[in-house]
Amino acid sequence: MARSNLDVLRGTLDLLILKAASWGPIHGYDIARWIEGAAEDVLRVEEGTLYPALHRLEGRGWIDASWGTSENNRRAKFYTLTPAGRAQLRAEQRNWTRFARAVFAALEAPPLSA
Amino acid sequence: MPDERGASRWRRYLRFWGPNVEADIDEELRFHLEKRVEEQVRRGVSASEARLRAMERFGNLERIRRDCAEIGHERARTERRRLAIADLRQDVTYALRVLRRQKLPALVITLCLALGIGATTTVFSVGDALLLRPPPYPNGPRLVAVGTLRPHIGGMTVSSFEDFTDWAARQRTFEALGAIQRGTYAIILDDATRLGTGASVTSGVFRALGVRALHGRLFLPGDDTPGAPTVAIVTAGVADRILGGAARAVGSRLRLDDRTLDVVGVIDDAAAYPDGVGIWTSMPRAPVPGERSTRSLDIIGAVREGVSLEAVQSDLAAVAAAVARDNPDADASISASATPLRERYVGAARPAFLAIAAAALLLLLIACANVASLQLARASARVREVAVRTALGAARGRLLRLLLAESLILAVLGGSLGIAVAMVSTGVVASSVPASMASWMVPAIDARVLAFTVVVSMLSGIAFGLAPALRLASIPPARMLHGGSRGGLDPRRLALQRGLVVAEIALSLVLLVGAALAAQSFSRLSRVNSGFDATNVMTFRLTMRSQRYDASEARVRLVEDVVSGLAVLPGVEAVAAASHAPIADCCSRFGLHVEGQQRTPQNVQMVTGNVVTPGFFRALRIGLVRGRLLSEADRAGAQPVMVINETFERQLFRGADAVGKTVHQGSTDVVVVGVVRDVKQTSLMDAPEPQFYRTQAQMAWEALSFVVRLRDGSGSSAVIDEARRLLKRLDPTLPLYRALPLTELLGRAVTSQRMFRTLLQGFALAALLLATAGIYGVTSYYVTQRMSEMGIRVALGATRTRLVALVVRQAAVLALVGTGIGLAGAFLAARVLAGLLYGVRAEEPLVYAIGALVLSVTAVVACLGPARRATAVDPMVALRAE
Repeated sequence: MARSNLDVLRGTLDLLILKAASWGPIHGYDIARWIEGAAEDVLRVEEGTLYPALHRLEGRGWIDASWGTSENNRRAKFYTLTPAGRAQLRAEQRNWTRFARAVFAALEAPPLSA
Repeated sequence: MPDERGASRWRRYLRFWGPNVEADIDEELRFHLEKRVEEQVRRGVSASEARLRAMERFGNLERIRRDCAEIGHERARTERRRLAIADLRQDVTYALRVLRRQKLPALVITLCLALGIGATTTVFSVGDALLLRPPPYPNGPRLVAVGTLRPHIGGMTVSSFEDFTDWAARQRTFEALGAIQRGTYAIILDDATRLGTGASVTSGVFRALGVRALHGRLFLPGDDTPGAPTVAIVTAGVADRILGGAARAVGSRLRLDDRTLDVVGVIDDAAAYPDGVGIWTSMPRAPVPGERSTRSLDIIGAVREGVSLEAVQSDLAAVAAAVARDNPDADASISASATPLRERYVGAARPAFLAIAAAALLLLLIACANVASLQLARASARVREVAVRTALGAARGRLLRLLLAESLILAVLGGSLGIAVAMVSTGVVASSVPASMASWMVPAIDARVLAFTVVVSMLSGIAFGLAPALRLASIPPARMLHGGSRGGLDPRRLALQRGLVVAEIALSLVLLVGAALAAQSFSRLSRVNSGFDATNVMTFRLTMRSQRYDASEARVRLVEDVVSGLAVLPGVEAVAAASHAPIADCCSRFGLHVEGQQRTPQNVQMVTGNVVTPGFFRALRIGLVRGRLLSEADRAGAQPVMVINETFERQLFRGADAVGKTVHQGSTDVVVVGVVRDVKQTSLMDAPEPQFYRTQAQMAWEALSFVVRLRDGSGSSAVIDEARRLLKRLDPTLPLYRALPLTELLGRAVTSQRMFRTLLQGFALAALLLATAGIYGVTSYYVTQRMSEMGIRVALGATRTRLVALVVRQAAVLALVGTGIGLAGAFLAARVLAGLLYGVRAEEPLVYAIGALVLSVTAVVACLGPARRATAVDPMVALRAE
């Protein structure tokens, strides 16, 4: 179960990161925790893979990174969605919803009549 | 909280200076793991167990670090690139803004660069055409012209077929050698007769060139065999015009003069050699022992791969010496020599070209000095701005780049405009290239020339933008700020600027004097006493080559018919024909012995001869000195007679009265009946040579120039029409060609001198403009820097006149110093130039005086504007500005 979940998650990791960063500055650890909680532990991620993804997204200019201080006064890297990232998030979200709806509709569809 | 964009920019800045990508990643990942451990510990897990779980959840730490680092470095790279581009764009934008604000100086600098670069580009395009571009034949670089070296006659001359055959058979250094007899053909078409430029060639010519046939074949060794039928090759252009297309030309027949030849091949127009020839006929010719001294052939050869010109020369010298030993009568002291094909055309023009190139370089130097001086002035006006920027932390490198960006933008503008200038001036040069040059030597702006221009523009932009920039950047900001409005009045900088202007004035004077000398030379050349009167004389030429003119009587009769037919026309004052119209046709030389001389081959005198109809002297108004002119009575069968010129009498008869003396021309004894004034036959520049005239009736030449003196200038084309009508009646197969006023032919003879003068004048004018701009610039700067001083002077009661005098004096000092240096330089240059110019010496006081005067007046005029500005100063404003 965990294996196949992971694959799905990889493809959608970018989308989830963008979503996580859409409410304001957030560091990697909190993103990981949010994904964990929001996806009801079903979509569990190998946490490390989050970071290359974050850096890639930063490189594309969808999120902005800056160093700040965390709750307990430790230096942490915070990520924020950029306007370009917001647009990307909207587009991806639409795609996903459409895709999911299509798959769902297909699963509910009656068998092919001869 | 951390959402300030400033922080992100700070990071980016760190990146620019080399961020520590790995340290950042480690810190971020460590934070994650520690938070996870804390969370586990809070849930009651032991610290060591918590660390293990955190690591497990995290996955392969090393791989993730590596991935992140890779992404980070890649980003740093693109970031740096983007920053560089952004900086560049910023520099350019800023530079453009500055230039827009200072339109006038920017415009002047652009124009200066345009003139300098335009001139240099033009000269490079000419040099490229003359000296660099190889002849456009497959064997181009290896092609040489081979010629006969004769004692008493300088340079290479034409050769005999017999010598050619022997040299070609014995030489070891050529891949192929071919002989060329240039000429014109009457091409007889169904409806018209046209004149074609042609050449009779041996098969070696095409082998030497290395060209290929487009259709059919080239000449083969078999075509050289005596008795073989004469066949023809044409260019595609000729085939298109008269043979119904290149593809159909092979196998068709061509009527040339009175022969009908098979066309065996077609070649590309660009492969034509000699340049301009459209028809080649084969040369099935056998050496004739007695003809060895009849020299009329050009020889071209392709040197074997890897053989040096020296080796070729020694080979030719040895071969020619051996041939001369075997034929002591004809070839006594005859040798052979080779010249690279390009050199054959360029040879004499080279020094003139180098002089022009030097002039263009001077102009570029002046332009650059001007630009540097203007840039210095601009730079010092901006000392404050730069000081403030530096004080505010602008990096010195960045400042340099800003200033350099400005210079480069100016260079690009100047360069583009320079190309436009060059296109125009190259067009002018190309249109005045003497006809003696091959068409592939006509200069043109091509990719090579453009590449050269780009390099020159960039170099001048960098060189003359960088100097002031470095200068500015090297001043400590504190000093600049302290300097206040007078911050720019750095005595050292002012000295440099004045030095540049002095140099400009000096260089301009050199160019001015050079141009004045060239102009004087040309005007003397135009007014040179040619010995004949060319005004109102129309000329045309006929060549009687067909069989019906084999008999000399036929040639004599036709010429007489044409002369008498034209003489009766209204408006015609006199008509005559001559084998060689002065200047236009130059010369044939004949071997003579004069009375009292031993008649040995060593003693033979090669003298220019002209075959004329008796009316020739009257038609060209050539004066008789002594004896009589030629007359109608000097017919074939009568006593052979000649008229000689004064130089002939002076040199060959040592000044003794020649009338009645005998001259031996080959086996004919000719009596001198008269002496006429010297006529410039070869060139307007050279001193007259010995020359003789004989009658057409006694020497029956086959190609003659007709000279028709009209009562006034009008009706010259009507005369040609009449001549054509007359010829149609007399012999419709005879083409009339080169119908031109004699003055036009004379003008062509001085084309290169005119071009030389025009170019130098253009350069001098440009230099004068540049010097004006330079003086204006430096004076203007001087006035600006001293506004407050002027104000004080006005306040203290100085009169306007005194102020103007003050400003003019500083410009006058520059002009004086520059003129002094310039005069010395001009004298040196003039000594070189005098060798290239007709009738002028380096010591022409008037020229120097005029040059110096023109420059001084220019200097004063140029500083009047700024001087007026100085007098307009309001003392209060000027003082307050301090």
